[in-house]
Amino acid sequence: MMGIVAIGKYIPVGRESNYAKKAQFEIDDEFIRDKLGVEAVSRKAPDEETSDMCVKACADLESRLRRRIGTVDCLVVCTQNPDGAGLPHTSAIVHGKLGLPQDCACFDVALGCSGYVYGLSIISSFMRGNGLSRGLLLTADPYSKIIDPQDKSTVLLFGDAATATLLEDAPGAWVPGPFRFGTSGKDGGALENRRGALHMNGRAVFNFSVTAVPPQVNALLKDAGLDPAAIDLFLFHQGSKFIVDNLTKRLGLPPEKVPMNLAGQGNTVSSSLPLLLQDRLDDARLSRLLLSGFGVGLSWASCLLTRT
Amino acid sequence: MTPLQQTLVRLSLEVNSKATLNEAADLDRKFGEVGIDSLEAMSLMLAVTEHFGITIPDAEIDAVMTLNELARLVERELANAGRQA
Repeated sequence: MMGIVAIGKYIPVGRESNYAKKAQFEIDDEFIRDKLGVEAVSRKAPDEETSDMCVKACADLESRLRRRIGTVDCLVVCTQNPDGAGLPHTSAIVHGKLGLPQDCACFDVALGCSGYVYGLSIISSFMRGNGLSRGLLLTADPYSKIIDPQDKSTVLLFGDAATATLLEDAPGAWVPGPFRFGTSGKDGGALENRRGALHMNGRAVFNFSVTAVPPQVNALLKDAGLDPAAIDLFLFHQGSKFIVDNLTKRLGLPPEKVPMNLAGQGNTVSSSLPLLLQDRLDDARLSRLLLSGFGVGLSWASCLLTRT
Repeated sequence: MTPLQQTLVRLSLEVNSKATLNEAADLDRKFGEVGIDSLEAMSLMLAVTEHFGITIPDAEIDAVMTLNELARLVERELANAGRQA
């Protein structure tokens, strides 16, 4: 069956330490470690474009596969911070940089933290509907392009990263589905780009995250006829340690089933879920995962991922 | 303490079990002084609005610095809704 076979990643080497900003933002080590969960945020180079990050993630994917990706029928880039002004679309620019064939379908999806889950549904149904056999879902949303370095609510959280997910029909592929989606456009002002600067109402985003996600997760489990105990791991978008801890508590989940990995790079928007997923694809102890992404829009989406 | 104050203390301790809320005077101390950081205060506000089924305008929530200030807001919102704490 067609599903995820491998994921490549690119996390820029640049880092900004949150410990170095303690005096500026009047925070302490405990707050950084135990509440934010982000010790340093990753930062791309100033001249590095979103498409460049995608290309590097693809290179990592090939090194993990130990082969060239080969023919790609479909390439989707999930980003809200595209190359330049967004024309042409970043996926087309990536297509050019990778030298892909002309019959490859390329398009961008303008979603943030919910983008990986939405993206999995979009690319897998697009491929199935059009008889395509190999696709790449890329995530690259460098918020460093729009972050205000004086804004405590964002500069300590968001980091830059890119991922490349290969979907094809292969034994052991992870098949996504079912899915659940959600949108609350009237609350979109909680996280927006205002004239080139990121603005976030932290309390509104926190309240949304911990009240919208648990009912969707429970509804998805009900759709699938599963108890939480049947899920090996719950992968939540890495908004902050505080948000993930509160979701874990509200859903009554054992913490060992809810991994986190944001300490070294921060909240990487749509890349956060594939970064969590990457090293777990080959763990033979795992066969059923639940993914949930939530944020800008406000938008949220959850899905199951089952190893065939 | 009034029943409302006791409820707010309980909700606070659910957010941070180590918060210093042993005496009535602690309810007039700022959140940071009793060990409730900014993110925990955010979580507390949500817990309070969910527990009482009320909505407090953002600008007023941002101005709340102590549990007694929060208690007064809750009393007002409940009174507006024709309910008691």
